[in-house]
Amino acid sequence: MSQETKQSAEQDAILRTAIDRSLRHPVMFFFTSGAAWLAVSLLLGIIATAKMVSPEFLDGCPLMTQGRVFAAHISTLVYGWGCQAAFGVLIWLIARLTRQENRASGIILAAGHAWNFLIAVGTFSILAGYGTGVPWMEFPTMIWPALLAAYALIAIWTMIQFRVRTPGEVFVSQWFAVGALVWFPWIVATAFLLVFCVGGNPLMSAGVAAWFRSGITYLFFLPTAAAAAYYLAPKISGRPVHSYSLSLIGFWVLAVVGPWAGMQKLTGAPIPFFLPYMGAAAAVLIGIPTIAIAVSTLRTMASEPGKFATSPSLRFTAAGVVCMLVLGISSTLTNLPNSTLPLTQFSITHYGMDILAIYGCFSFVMFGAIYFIVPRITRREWLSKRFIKMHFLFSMYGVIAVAVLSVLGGVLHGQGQEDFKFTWDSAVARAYPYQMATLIAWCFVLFSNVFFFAHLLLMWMRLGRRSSHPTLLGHAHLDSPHGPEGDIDNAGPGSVIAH
Amino acid sequence: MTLRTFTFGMIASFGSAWLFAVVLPFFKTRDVKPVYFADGIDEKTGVYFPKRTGQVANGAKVYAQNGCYVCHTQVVRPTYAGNDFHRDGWAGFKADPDRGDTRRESNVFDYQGEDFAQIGVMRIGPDLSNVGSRYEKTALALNELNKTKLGDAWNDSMKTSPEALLFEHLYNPRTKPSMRWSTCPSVRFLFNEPAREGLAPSPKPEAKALVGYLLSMKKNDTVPASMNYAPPKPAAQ
Ligand code: HEC
Repeated sequence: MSQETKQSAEQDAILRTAIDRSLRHPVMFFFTSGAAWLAVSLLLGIIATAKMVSPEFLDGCPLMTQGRVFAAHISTLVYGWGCQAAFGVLIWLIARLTRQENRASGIILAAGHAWNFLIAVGTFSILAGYGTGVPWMEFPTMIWPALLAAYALIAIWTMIQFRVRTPGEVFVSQWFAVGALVWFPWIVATAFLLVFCVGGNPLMSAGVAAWFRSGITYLFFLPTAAAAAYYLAPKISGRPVHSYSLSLIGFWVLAVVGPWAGMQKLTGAPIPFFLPYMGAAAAVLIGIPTIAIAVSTLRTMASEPGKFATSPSLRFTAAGVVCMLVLGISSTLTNLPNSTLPLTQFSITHYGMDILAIYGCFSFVMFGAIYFIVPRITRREWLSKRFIKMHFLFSMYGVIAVAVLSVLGGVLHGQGQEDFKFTWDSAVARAYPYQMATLIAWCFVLFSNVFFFAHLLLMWMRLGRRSSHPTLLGHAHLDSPHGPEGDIDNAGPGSVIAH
Repeated sequence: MTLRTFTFGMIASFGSAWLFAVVLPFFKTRDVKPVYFADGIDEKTGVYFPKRTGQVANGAKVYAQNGCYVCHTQVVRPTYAGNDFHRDGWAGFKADPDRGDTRRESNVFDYQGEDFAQIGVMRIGPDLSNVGSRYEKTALALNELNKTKLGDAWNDSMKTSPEALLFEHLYNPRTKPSMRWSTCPSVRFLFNEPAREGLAPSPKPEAKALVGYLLSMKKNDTVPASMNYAPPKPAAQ
């Protein structure tokens, strides 16, 4: 290595360390409190599913009514875990990609506390019977503007960083990250204003709420997962992104098609005829961007197949991207008007798709990113590879069971609903085995996340290993699993030079 | 990609869908236009007045707060979108003693008086958009049955009402042995526990509002043919 490149590599390492240090507290806060909400949400999900299977369980207790618990389960999953994990990953990603320290970590941390407080108030309100009854927007009306304000404080600095970065190309990972950051407030503000503030036709309010659910899933969670996957895949494998044009197709088809999806959930309701059809068409086309994103990120990762065995980040990310592929293809197959849509519109497929999107696709990629980011910002290594393995295996079994069984089982459930020659109880009976399986799977997932949460908490308390050898899943390996960026220089900035 | 193309593309792609699929339809459908009965086609003439009575707004709130929409839908899809029409009692009745086939799919007026149409998330329980008529019919049939069974011992104070049946269901959907399979949650916290054994629990105002709301969901009035896409009725058998 020549003297000059050695020096710039050293400067690079110093800059990266500075960026990581500037974001340590807010990002760790988002990850750890997100993981805590995930555990709460899973517990509520277990209760809700248990009540579907055996309604006598905790029957008659107002706080534990089926409908309220289910609403609280979804709300904590989406806003407590999903949004916080996404915020943590997105602000870190943009800071790294624009090569700038984050100078607003105090504000972000404060806004993060506010966010958690609002989620807690909202969740208690739902359980206490003050929910709004709008699916995915059950938090009381006053919570929403406050959440948006907290979001603005969290995201504004990141947007400024993006704006003032050294001019030039906008990278693939950045497209998706900025897309998610822009679409999220746009969707939330629109839905909040139209559903809660401007009185409209009750049916169109329901339509907007359906559009909101789909928007959060496909234009916030999915692009966040894509941004992280497009960052991690080349970083860990050490190879450039597989196909630029495929990524381009993935992004723009998602941007063009995504915002039209959602209202297929109102097919047959008396709203303007074209809306559900546009929604169904868009939901069918969602398959295209997911295939494009999945193929190009998986091909990038596969260029270094040995890393799958060792790198926890890569393993989680790859699993998440595979879930993304399954999600996109399922969306295509379950939303065909006049064929599968009537079967899945109101069956348990609905829940299966939500879980596949949030826990399967999105969360797995987030776990991958978290396993990558946390050692860098805490400057400690993960304590136990057994914890990571447990987390991976039980989450994987769980999500395969929930998503695959609910999505496929939902089609059979839908057939039962449509078959009017049989009485309604036969349709209910058809959903039963899948709900039972979901219950067991949730228990697996909760079990796996106990390990995750404990591990993360220990890392936040800076009890991680002080070592410059990353925690790998396989046996000792001489290559760095983190790609060209090198091992983590726990001895101080610049002590280990990128190789 | 440069920042300019990126920003422009983002605004154009999201903005157009936002405008044409969300904002414009929302404002366009805000005021529901009256629908007229057509001369020669409908039996009636003039403007169609939907009638919906009961504590709709309060009841809808209780319905929303307890998450009934997780398992119940409130929409009868036209035949092109599903088979809801053919489940007896969902869209109306196939053979109403007075009016014959009364089935029709949902229309805009069915959601009158609500802020948010509870289309529903999943359909674990049956669709509720005609639950009022169903309970009225059940109550009538039950009274007839008891009358013939009891003969002279029957008096009018023994009559049951759709309200009473719904209270019973809400208090515990699994009372009847034939309904042990029901997974409908009990909302008995909306009732005051009975003072003595054997008395019926008395409903709190929320339970009354909820029942009023459920009973307001009926598809039993004649709507203009222009709003009714029901399949052509088979010739009289
Ligand atoms: C776990 C899903 C679930 C939830 C939540 C739920 N229900 Fe049900 N409901 C069912 C099932 C299943 C049935 C069918 C069995 C029966 O009639 O009891 C049903 C039946 C009913 C019926 C009788 C319908 C008929 O036509 O006979 C009414 C009325 C009803 N539910 C009202 C409610 C109300 C009000 C709520 C909100 C407090 C609610 N349900 C919440 C599952 C649910």
